[in-house]
Amino acid sequence: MNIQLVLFFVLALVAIATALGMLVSRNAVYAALFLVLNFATVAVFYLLLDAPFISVAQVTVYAGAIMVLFLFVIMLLGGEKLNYPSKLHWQRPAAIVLGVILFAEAVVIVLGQRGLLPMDYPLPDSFGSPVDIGGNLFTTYLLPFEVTSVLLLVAIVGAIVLTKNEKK
Amino acid sequence: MPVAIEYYLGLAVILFIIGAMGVLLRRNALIIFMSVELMLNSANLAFVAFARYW
Repeated sequence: MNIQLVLFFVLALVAIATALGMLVSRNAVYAALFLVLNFATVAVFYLLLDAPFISVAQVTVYAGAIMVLFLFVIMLLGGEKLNYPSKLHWQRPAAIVLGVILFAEAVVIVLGQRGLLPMDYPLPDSFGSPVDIGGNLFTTYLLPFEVTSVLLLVAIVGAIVLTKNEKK
Repeated sequence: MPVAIEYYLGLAVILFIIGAMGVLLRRNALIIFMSVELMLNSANLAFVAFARYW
């Protein structure tokens, strides 16, 4: 039992516990804070997977910017109380049945592909470094990168158009 | 010997299922959006694990 395996299992326990905490918490602020902790543990998983750049981007973009925006919206709109009852009585059993089916499918697929899963592989020294990522992004993957920038531009224009007051 | 990729895939599957259950169970739009973020994150974890071990 080496140190990486111990770290993985402890962090996996924290990640699953915080995800479940987000699922069951009755207060939206608590749910958002659970999700911040979950994103932080996922960032440590990225470090374990030799991806330091993605790990730091996860902390700054997800745990930092996006979740702070969430908390800001929740507190600004005052929507933190979530305890109104559901009108659909069949929603909970149907959701549990569908979740169990999805889980069974995923387990069958992952275990069925077990022999095809990649093995451990010696990595090049520059793996996951910002220099490597930037070089790949602006040479090999330039077209997907530019398409992503156009997609973000469409999202910005859409947000402005949707929030504009229409003259009656 | 680092952690096997099966463990990362299993963790990604579990996080994805929890996110999907959140989308199906909760009725608040913000909570549903947070559950979608959780599912996106689990997919990212699987992507990074594949990138590391391929």
